Amino acid sequence: MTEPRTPAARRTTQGSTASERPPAPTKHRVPIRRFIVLAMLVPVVFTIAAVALQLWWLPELPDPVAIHWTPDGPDGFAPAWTLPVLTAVIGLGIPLLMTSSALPGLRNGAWGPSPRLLGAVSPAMSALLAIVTTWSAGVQRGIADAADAPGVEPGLATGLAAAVIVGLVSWFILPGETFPEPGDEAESPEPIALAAGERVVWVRTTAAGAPARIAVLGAVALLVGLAVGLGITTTAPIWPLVILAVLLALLGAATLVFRVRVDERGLAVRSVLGVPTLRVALHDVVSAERVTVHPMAEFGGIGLRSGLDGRFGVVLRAGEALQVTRRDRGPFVVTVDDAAIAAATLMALRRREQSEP
Amino acid sequence: MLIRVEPGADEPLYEQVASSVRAQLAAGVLQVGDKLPPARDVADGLGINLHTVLRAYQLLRDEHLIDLRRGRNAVVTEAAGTLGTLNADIVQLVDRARTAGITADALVSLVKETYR
Repeated sequence: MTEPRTPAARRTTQGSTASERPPAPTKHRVPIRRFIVLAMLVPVVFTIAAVALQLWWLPELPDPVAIHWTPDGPDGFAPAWTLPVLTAVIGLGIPLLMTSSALPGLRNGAWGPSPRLLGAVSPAMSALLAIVTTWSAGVQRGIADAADAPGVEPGLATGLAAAVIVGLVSWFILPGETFPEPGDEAESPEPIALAAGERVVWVRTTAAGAPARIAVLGAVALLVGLAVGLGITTTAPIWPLVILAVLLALLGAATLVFRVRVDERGLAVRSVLGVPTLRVALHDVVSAERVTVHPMAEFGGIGLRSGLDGRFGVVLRAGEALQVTRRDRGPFVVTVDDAAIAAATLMALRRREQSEP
Repeated sequence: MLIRVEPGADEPLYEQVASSVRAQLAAGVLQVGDKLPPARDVADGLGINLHTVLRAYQLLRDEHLIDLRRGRNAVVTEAAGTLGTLNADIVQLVDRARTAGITADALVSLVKETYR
């Protein structure tokens, strides 16, 4: 290697070989800056511009203004200040909420189609919102009564067109790769030693991370609190709230905590509720390994998930996972600690089954 | 947690289940406060009677290695934590005994003798 060391010389070298791929260390870098600019800063700029224009026009607007239209004309009205306030709250809130959930995964060095889509949808939605709200303000300038406001269909069409363009441009600015590649950090352990008549079981509980559990518990507590409060202070029926709380608690029990078991029948992943139970029969097992999972990048979130690469499984958190290659379907994944031992046990059982017809 | 038994062996099944758990306590796979898997899961997975597993858990409770409470999981106790600290010594002892040609049974009876 004769790569020049000084920064200036280096720049020259890179300039002359622009068509070459960047060097290996930068290959797997998350475009976090580009993502933040597109998914968060662009929406903020659109929203600020829209709000500024609406405030500028505020003295010329009728009060109340029309905020909702049917094909025959306006049918919803509100005080004039609602328009810029709504624009600001929705325009800032939605992109920030949507994208902040993706940031932890990106900081962990994972990138894939899900954050790419998010990085395109967020500025597109914001463009649509900014144009439609500002357009509906613009058409009402100088009108005395908001009921005479003209339709906003051209604004809607313009907004949609702008959204499509912004979305497409953002999509192509963001890279289309997925990394780490599934299998990048895979480990196929040696099967454990098994005597001929020996029986073996491996059991481990796996649960979603604290934020997911706290969110569900918090929502249940909120509903119960609301039901109690309503029950005491009013005569309103509280059973819808109670049913909702029970349903939410059941949903949590069915999706947040699972028991993973490897035995002579194969792999079983059962929620603490008992339903759902996902199984891989021992004779369907081709191989088992320990992998590292990045839920956002590879599966688009947590839960019972299908990856875009054909994998399916119970993805509850980032990190260690057991991955089983199945005979006639895509790989099955479950995030669980000590996955290497689970894989070694499963492979030992599979080998023994193959050798004893 | 990995539990293995050999139905053909001389040692009773519940002893073998308890030994598996003890081994993982000593190896540090199970830590203080960890929950043991429900006995039903273990019994089902091994294809043995539920009461055999429960008897193993009771044995471990009598040894103060786990806490058993009605309606709750078996939980690894503080006392079991010290078992983990013995692991290195045990591995060393067994190594030396093996090199000296001392069988497992002989070593066990020597250890038992020392307890008296």
